[in-house]
Amino acid sequence: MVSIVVVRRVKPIPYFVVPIFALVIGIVVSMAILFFLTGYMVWPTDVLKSIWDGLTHPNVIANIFLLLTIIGFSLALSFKGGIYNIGGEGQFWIAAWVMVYLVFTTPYLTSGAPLVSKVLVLLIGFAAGFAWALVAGLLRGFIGVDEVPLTLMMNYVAYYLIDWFVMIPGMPWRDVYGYAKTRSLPQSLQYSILQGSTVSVEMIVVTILAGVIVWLLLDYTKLGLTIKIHGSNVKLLRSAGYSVPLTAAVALALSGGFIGLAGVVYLCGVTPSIRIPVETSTSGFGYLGILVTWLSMLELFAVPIAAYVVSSLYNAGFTLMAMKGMQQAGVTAGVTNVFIGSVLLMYALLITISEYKIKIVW
Amino acid sequence: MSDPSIATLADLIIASGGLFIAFYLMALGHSVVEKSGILNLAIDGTFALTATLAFFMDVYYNNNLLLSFLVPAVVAMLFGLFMAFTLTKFPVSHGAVGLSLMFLMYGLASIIGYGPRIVQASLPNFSPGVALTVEERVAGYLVMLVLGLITYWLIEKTKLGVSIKASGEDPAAAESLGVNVLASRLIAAAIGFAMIGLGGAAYMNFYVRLWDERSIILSGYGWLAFAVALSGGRHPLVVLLTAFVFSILVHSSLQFVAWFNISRELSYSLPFIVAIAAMTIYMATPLRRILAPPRSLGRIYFREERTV
Repeated sequence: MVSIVVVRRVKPIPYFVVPIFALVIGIVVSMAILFFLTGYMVWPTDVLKSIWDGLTHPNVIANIFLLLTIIGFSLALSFKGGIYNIGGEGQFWIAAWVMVYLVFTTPYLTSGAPLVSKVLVLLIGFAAGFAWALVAGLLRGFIGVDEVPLTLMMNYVAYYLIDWFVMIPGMPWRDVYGYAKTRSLPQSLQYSILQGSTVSVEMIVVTILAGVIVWLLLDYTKLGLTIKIHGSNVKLLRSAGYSVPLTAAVALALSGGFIGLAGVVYLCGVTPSIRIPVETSTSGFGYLGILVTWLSMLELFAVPIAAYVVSSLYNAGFTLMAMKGMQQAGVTAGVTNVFIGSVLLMYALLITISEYKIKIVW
Repeated sequence: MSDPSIATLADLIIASGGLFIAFYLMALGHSVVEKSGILNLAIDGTFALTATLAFFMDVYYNNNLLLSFLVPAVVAMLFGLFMAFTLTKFPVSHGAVGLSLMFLMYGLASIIGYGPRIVQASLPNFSPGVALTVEERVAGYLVMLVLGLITYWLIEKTKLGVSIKASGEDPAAAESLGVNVLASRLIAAAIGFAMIGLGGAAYMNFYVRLWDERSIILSGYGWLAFAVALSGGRHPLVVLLTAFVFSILVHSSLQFVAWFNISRELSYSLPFIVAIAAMTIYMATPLRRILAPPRSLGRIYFREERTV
């Protein structure tokens, strides 16, 4: 009789092996899915070429890479605390929306020096993302509501609230031509693109700052230590006299705050207005960020590497769409979800092999 | 602003019959899965994929309802078996597997749905599924009641049900008492995911009867079914009530636009706000104790054969 034997390894295998294997096998699985489901129209070579295009053309994926890096850092903050913030999408858009709201209703926000305005809106975005995530954090910490479905459902609430806000008639943020979008941000808030590239200095600076702050917070502050202990040993945290519910709430809220920065950066550096419905115009950054964070094994230094790879996968979905055409092959942006799902699934399964050997015996 | 009359409410209950069937089937299936200790975060993906598969079968097999329900149920069941096997046999995170399957199923739904949608556009007189009559909707409510009673009996009164519940409460203890945890979870997942698949198919065939990414993949209705099951304590009969409330709420969300003069977008958010409130109330009140979740829900369990 065939049986599967799971044996703990004497020494765990190097941690970088799992994400690499997950990536390779996940891409192979995606290739097979796309090949068969599109009626042999998307060949594995097409998939490889589209991924390679992204990997070898940093300029094409630079914006997405920077955004995903910020979100990856942000999610690592809460994931290290054992708090699974799946609400990045909502926090991202709420921050972007609050910024738009304040920019168009509070003129003095943009009346000063551009640098001051840019810093102010970043702080606003952080505060908005923090506040939105804090709602989930408090419910998770003090009432015990599972943060995964909770933050996921809050994404939908955020989507629909923003869809509503954007279209309220007569409001200063409404597009002057009546299109389903907000007015563009004032020039003083828009980041200037570096010549010969697709990114701005501001985006790069915010990304580096976000990484450094999260690193300092986690490794050099008492709060960071409590968050990490929350992720590994809640009982120890409790016995040391710290509030477990508050730690959970703060971890989730801080994570939302940093994702809020990404929302602001997206509007200031990539597209200057919010188009609705946001749930269809969104590129799913909050969800892609989960893939980035897991692939990085929660190591901050590996977040940019994972973000670069995921940006290439993301870009591959659109490249395939352009190469094959939606009308012909049914290849839509949903292809990206196939990549995310396959790689994440492989990661979730293969993480086992880092600590366990799996043998088939008969 | 006009108040809804009793007649309007009765109409509403009848009109939301198709949605009730979909929500109840999904929430009931989800409850059976979670009774066995498997945290099912793949529910929204399963909903999106099975609704899409139903649409696919409708378009390519001329509204053959048997195929339109059977194929989604079988596909969902296969995913469920995969989940139950990996989560019981290996030390794997329930959340990670569930979420990754959710994304994968979103992607599959997106690709599978696109072809038949193009085909449907060339069939001007074709609509997927069936328009249920009033009698059929009432019958739908009754069938769901009977299904709820059967599931209650299965879970509470049979040896299989006890095995499933024991696997969800304390799989290690259950195993030592002779319960085959893997077999129990496989059966629970097969039954539960098949029900979720039937729910997705019912949503397509009896309610929405159209396919686009926004109304299927981005609707989040699988998560509402998750909230329906959770707020009903995963109890087959209590879930009847919560599914009823949510189906009325979702169906009438557009009516709220007229009744309370709110925007359409705001009305879409209401079911999710209520779902969050329902989960919070469940966790913050004695309901949490009365309708307690399985103690080992989502906890990693596997039998390590030996340690080197």
